[in-house]
Amino acid sequence: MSLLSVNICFELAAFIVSALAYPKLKGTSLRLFPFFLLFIVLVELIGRYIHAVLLQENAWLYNVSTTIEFLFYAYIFESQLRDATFKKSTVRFMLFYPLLVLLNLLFVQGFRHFHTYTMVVGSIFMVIFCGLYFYELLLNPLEGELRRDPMFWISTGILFFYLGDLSYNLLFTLLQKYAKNTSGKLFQNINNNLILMLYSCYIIAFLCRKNPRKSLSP
Amino acid sequence: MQKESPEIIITLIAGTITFLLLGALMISFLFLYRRRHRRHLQEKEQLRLSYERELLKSQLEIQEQTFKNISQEIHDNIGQVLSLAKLNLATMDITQPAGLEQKIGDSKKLVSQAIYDLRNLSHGLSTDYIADRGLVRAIEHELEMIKKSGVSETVFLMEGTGYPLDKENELILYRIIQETLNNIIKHAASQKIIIHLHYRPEELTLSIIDNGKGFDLTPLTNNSSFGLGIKNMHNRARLIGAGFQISSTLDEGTSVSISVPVGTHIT
Repeated sequence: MSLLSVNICFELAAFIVSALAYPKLKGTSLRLFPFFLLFIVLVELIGRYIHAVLLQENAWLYNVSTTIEFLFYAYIFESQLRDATFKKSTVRFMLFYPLLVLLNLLFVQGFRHFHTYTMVVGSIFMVIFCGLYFYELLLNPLEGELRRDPMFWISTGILFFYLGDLSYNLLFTLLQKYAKNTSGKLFQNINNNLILMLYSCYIIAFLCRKNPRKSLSP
Repeated sequence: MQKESPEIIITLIAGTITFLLLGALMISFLFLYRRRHRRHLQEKEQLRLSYERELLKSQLEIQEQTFKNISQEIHDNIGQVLSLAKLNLATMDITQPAGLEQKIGDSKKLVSQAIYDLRNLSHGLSTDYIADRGLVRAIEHELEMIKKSGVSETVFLMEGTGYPLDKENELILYRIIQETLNNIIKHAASQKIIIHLHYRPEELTLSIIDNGKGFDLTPLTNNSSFGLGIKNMHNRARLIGAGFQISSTLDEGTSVSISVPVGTHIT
């Protein structure tokens, strides 16, 4: 099994495009994206290496990486949202979510299993933050062309990715019990397509000409 | 090994599709809403621009009309009076003092009349004509001028307590009145023109009625050049949010009615 899959190729492409767009991203919170995408690529490579070469469980790695992903997205939304209440909600999420994951791993699902319960919580919050961002776009309809707004594409990717994965994570316990094999393969298919969509959106976002919204926070 | 349940797989697929559709719905709504809002703002901006254009046009037309009136007044009235005064002075004979006093008196009167008329005219030269006088006074002046010219008898009626409209709207309204009066003078051959202003708390209704020869309104519904002036008036009324109605009967006269809701202004 090769370490490079189509998904990793897309993630790598998104990283390269974001790194090339880095000068344009300076002064905005999106400047962290190249580092984040590099982190994702490394996690994926290490995850596949652990699974395919070392033949060991890699759930712990994804428990950590997905938590960091959620915190990173929450930070991006915090810097992009304008409304003080919306911003506060993202900050609260950043404070409480890691605690929730820790409690889940310690007392509920354990470190050796993937944290589906807190994934559901995180996914719902990501959908809410995307909704809040879109709501602000609705309130400012004259603000630029959506198709040239990097944050619009990033939010769109995040929205579809987490909405797409939500059903599987919600039904995870039942699927494990009643349809482990079929659901596993199905989820892999769905998830792979969602990953392609997510990173395609990131690539479009960084190919956009318009400069991203500068952070309003001090 | 436990048998796998197809229901749970169907639920998973249905759930995923539903959630993804929800996302697509959100994005589509965002696009549609923004597009509609932009279109609405563009239309509003276009309306504002055409309002400003019409306002400027109205101002220029009022100015033009004022100059025409002044020129006519100087030629027909003041010029005649002064010519008469000059004639009086020219025919004075110092050697015959008997009629001299009478002629000097007559000349004095004529010059005074000319001064009075000139003063009246100078008022009409003010750039903020309507703003200075107010709509009612401006209409009265317009009717006085018509009456003085002997073209037609005029009647001005006012009901309710008058209130000022928006300055720009008053100007456009005044221009519609002026154009209607011009049309009556040019085409109607009427003996009597009535202007009726009815101030209600919610709207101002203005009627201009003449007993002239009237005309057939049917060509107005076609896209012919006939009635371009009326269409123009109608457009102007619509621009200030006013209703515009015209009715005419052959050999009986024409009636133009404009109703302006209070507080209408394009922003």
